Amino acid sequence: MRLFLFLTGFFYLAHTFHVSKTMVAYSEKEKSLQISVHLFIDDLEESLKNEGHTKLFICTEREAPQAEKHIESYLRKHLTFSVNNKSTPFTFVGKEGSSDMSAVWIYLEIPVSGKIKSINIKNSLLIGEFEDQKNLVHVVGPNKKEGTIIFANTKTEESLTFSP
Amino acid sequence: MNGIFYTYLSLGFDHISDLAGYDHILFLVALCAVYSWTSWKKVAVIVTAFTLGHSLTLALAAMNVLNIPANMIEFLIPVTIFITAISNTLPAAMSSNEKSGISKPMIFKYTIALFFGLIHGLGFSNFFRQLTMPSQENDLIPQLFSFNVGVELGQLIIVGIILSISFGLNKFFRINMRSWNIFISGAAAGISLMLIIERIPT
Repeated sequence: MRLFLFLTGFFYLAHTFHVSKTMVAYSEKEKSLQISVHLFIDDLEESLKNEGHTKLFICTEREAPQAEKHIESYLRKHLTFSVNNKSTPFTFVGKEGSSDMSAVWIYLEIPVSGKIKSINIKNSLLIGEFEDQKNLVHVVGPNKKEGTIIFANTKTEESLTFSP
Repeated sequence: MNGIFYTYLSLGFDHISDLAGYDHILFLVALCAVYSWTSWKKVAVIVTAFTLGHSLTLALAAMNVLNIPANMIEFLIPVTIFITAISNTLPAAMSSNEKSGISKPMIFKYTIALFFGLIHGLGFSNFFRQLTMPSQENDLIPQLFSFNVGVELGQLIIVGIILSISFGLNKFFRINMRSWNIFISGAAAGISLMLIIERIPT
């Protein structure tokens, strides 16, 4: 029986993959970092369940009134930004379901004053729950300098520097 | 922070070589079960045919020309493994390793590698689509290219390992290639059958 459970667990893994993606774009006009986070709803609900929040029905008609608050506090714990070596908490702008409703887009904003010299990103979204979780973060910084970071259980932090 | 090439290359490489999503590895195992390093030329043609197949459908699906439900593809992938494994045990396939040149069983093998490659490419696309960002639509071609290079590298390493295992077992342990083929094909058929049952679309 135990072997059978092991096998089904093993086979279950075969058809799932765990990926989130985040875009971070610096807007010179708005003087802010504009952030969009794409998370699979089932993965996010699984993580929130582990924190004791069940029956959230994210992005459905039955969505629990507390759902957004729990999502926000989950993000504050697992996705943080420091600009120029100062911790810069984001403003939660809002969220919407993806076109096929399998995922949620969450929008965040960080006001930035002055020139950006460095951005430090810590991203451990869903990594505690899924061993194979990968979190892609695409950054478009000042002077259109851009690139992608892949966060995973072996790497949850990265510092970027921008030349003036 | 990395550019498109390195990012998508590493995503492609990790995707095919990831042991947690081992179905593509299992297909390569079934495809190459009969061969060792001594028949590397045949393997090169087979792997190239598979690559042509999956690169084509990955590109078409990524450009939204093809749109086939993910659960259908996830079901068909173990079907391709099962058929390949079973076909390895047919009398014609068993003797194909000894014949040189282009024989009927080899043409059959190249054809299934190409055709089943089409299905695996759709499987890659389910993953690939999750990686692309709305602001990067213009970068689709370089992303696809780099992802394919990564898949290719991973594939070559996996095939190299499979061929080395058969070669070593044959050379140092005197294991007969026919027995090895039946053993490996049987294992691949069994595992893929369980995946098929699990993934029957509802």
